[in-house]
Amino acid sequence: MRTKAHVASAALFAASTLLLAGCAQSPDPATSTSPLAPPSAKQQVEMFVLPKATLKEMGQASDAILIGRFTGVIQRGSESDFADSGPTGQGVPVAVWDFEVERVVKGGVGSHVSVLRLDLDRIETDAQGPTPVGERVVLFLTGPHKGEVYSVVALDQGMVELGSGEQLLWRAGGLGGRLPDVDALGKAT
Amino acid sequence: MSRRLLASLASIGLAMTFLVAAESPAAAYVKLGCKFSGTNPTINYYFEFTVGSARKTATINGASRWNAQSVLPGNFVQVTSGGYNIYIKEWSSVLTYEAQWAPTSACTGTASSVKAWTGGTGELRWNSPSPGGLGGNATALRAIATHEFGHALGLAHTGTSCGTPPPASVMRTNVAFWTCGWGTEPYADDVAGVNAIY
Repeated sequence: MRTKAHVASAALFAASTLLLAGCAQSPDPATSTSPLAPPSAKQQVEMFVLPKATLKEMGQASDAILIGRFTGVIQRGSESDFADSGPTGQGVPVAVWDFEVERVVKGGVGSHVSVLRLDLDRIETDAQGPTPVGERVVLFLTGPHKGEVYSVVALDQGMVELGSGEQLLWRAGGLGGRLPDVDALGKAT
Repeated sequence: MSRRLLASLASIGLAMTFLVAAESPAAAYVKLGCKFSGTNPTINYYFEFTVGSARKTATINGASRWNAQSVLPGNFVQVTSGGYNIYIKEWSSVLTYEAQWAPTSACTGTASSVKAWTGGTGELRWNSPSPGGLGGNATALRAIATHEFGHALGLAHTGTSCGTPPPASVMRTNVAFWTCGWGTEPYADDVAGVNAIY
């Protein structure tokens, strides 16, 4: 009985502390978010991404360039779990993608590389397209960050699908049609 | 005979006028599906302590660009305490975007059936490392702020290049649209889009 009372008091204290902490961090919003919003609803995020204009710029922005195959998502969380966050943290839902490395053009990565991507199961955005497991891609990466994960240069621009043969199929940005095949990657280093 | 010739020429001229009109650029704006409630909402924005002076100035100027449009519904107002609709912060993300608009209220609307965010709140988040290398480029930062406020007003992305398809739009992404030579954002198509939403 006494234990139950202690637990109840502790829970009340914790709830009050959290409430007070929330109030202290920022002023109240104009109106509160509906508590009835379905928890499974995806978070809508619109992102402004500035692509690189040339392959040279892509290379300069990359710590690693490689050809790899997407094997699947191995972890999920918030960005602050995998990269150093700012003073107020980063709540953007992310997923860690694993790639089996086929060929390294630049940087010192092993046989597998972990890449931080937006978690499209929890986020709704047009900044990142879907990628099927097994897809063979060229990756332009920055990092590694905390937790040994890399991120992609200019989101979708730095993850380039390989078409039939060795032709590069740019997803986004201003490099479309400029690169005939993977041999051109040597110019990025 | 000459009357017939004149009539024929007039018909051809009329037809060409219609053809030219048909080929003139159509509206490019796309509706996000969500908006602030009301037909002429006052939208309060608040700066977190994390926002540095360059992005703070750019944000204020971006809001002013929308407020300066005489035929536009909605009015952005900076508040330093009390209730807000847009919470503005700056952080360091490795996800290589410049800024993002993230509504923190629920909305069930679609582009064809626009509805209001139930709580009427959202966040404008700056990524201060600027993976695009913008540094303190005031013109670029203001243009991006105007772009994000366009989302807040209910506009979605329109395209990814300067050249095609016309017309000019502040809602382009994946392009440095402030270098397209269009003048100062927002543009007529953006204003038409917001008017269509509200």
